[in-house]
Amino acid sequence: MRTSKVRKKTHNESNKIYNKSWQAIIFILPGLILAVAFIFYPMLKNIQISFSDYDIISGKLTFTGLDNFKALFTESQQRFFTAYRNNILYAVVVTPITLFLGLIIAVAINSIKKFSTTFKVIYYLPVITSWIIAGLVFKYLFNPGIQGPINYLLVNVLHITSTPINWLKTEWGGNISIWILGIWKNIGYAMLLYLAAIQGINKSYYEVAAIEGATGFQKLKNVTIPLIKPTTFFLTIQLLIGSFNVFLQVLVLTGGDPRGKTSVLQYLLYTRTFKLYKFGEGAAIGLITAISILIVTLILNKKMKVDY
Amino acid sequence: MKIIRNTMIIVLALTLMFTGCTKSDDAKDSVNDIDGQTKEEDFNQEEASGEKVKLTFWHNYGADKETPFFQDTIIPMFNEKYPNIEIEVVAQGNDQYAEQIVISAGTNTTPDIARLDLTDVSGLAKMGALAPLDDMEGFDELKSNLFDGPMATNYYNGKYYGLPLDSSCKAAIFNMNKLKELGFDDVPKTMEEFIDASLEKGEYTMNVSSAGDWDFLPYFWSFGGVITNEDFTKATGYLDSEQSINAVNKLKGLHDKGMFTIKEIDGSTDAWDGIKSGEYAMFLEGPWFFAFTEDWEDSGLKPALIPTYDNQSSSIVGGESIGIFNSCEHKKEAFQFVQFLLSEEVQVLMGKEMGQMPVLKSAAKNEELTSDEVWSVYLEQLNNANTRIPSPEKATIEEHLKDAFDSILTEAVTTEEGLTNAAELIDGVLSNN
Repeated sequence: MRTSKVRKKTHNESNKIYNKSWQAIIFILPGLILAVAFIFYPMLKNIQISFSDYDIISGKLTFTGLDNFKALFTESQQRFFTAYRNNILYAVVVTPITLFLGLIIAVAINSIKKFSTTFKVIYYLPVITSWIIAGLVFKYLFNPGIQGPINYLLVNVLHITSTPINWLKTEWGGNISIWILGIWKNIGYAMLLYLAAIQGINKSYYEVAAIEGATGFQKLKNVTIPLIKPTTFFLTIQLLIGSFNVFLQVLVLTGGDPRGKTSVLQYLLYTRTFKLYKFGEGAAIGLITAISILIVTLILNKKMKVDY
Repeated sequence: MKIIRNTMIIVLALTLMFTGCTKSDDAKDSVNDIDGQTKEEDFNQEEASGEKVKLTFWHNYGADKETPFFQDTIIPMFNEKYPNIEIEVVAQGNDQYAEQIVISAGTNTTPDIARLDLTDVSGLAKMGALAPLDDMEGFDELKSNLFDGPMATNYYNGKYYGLPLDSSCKAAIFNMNKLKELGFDDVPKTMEEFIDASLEKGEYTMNVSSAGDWDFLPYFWSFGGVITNEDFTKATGYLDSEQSINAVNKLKGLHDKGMFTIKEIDGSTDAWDGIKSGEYAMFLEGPWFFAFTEDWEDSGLKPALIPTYDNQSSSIVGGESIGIFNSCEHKKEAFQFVQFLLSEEVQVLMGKEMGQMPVLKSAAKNEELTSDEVWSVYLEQLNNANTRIPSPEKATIEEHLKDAFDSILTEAVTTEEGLTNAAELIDGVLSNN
């Protein structure tokens, strides 16, 4: 009698779990279908194409092993390695400068009592400006002739150089222009997140620091920065991942010139796929980018321990 | 309740499955179409029933002048002549147009007919997107009246996958005020006299945008350089030959002396701005320069044939082709539209009103065009305009050539090294054609 009651109870419980699972699936399903259609399937297909010769019309894939990767690594101008180097340089230059300037601006805006909203809007405007529009403005600023405002400033006003600099069509001129655009575009995003983090810090920490006689810099160093570490971690990951997805600024500003010296992985992917119709090589670049981002994220997760 | 939930899931899953299946069936159809025969029966049935055939035509004509004229004048002319064919004209714009065609080919959403850059035809043919036109009724007659240079770019693997629609080439544009400063009363006929006068004055007088093939090759060819043999199958022995090395060295010498500037390398003033302001005496450009520069006569600008060097000068062929896609179910009607656009009447009209250089030999002799100061120069220059290598890998070849010229001019490599390396790379590409 007792056993049958227990059995009935267990049966009812498993029924409940079964019902709950179905209810959960119903809610998950729309998102799952979209994720399968637009994330997982393209991902798997990309991996398949990267190891194949892909006929776009018939959709036929002929397995070619590592041929696409070999073609990328042995190309005469070493465009792949230059693009990879440029992505790393972009991450190394743009990420710390953006974080630093974003933090400084956030601290400054947090300390002023008037017009803080105005400043927030001004610094955030570049974030919501289209990359194409911003790129065209920068293209005008970095115009290679004396007509370019930056060259005019350097040659005619500051007299730093006697001849205008060919900013966009030289290896380092082009890369510097791309970095400056990246920094200018991202500062507002870092500033806004830092500002939210700073405003979330309990005021009593600063009161205690003030009683202890801490200076403004000491408060920043010993209170603010440690307490906003989770935001720094989040921003670092975001900016580093973003560094592997640089594309539009290269497309608009330099087109990868000269000879791919200012190219990046996503731009190389675009040119290999849509200019040269080398779909396998494009997919291989995509796969390498994804693996690189995964490795960067895993390393950061391990190295940057955050106490929430 | 449970039944409803389970039914919903099954319906969703089935929808997903069938969506995938439909796409692959379409793909199969379009592949079967390659020979251009399979849909013939459908066509005959429709013709018998007297139904109107609808065709889609994609183009990248300019929005200001060309598209309205094409839409409002050319298409009504066609409709009057062929009332049984309806053309749906889709203006795609020029940005990313080639990429859009590739994407449409990969997703089975191609138009029936499209205007294509002539250098893209062989690549699309290799992909299997375009239908061969050789067997179409009236093809041979049409071909015999088309210029050989633009026609050659449509050839791939033994068949023609497109027909030239409009052509272009570069001719010289001179600033007569600047020429006067150099001591010329009229345009120089030879490059030798122009170079001597410029070097004596010690000024920048010629400019190109980049060392890319469209900009650089007319100079390279004019100074005696060659890229491949006549049938475009071999670059070694040609691109790295002594005459090619001499041609590049000549240009490099002029560049080093500051007479010949390359915007992309030197950061010099844009050629269009420089020729108008009088900074440059000469540059090479297509006929559209005059369409976009209404005050060219008042600014002292003049079109002329490219000056000869060692008694020869060369220009470069550009322009667009028209192709019919394999997915087109009414290829006969599509070809009728192509024939209409390549009729003398339409070619002359498009030349006069849309700035499109005709590809028909008979249209090029038409007095309405030959009496025009600009067109007369370009039509004559077209006679010694060379075509770029017609190859499905044209972008890769362009990349190798630009890399070579760039590296040589920036002294990253010697002329011999740069050209030898490029010749070997281009040979590798050509062997895969």
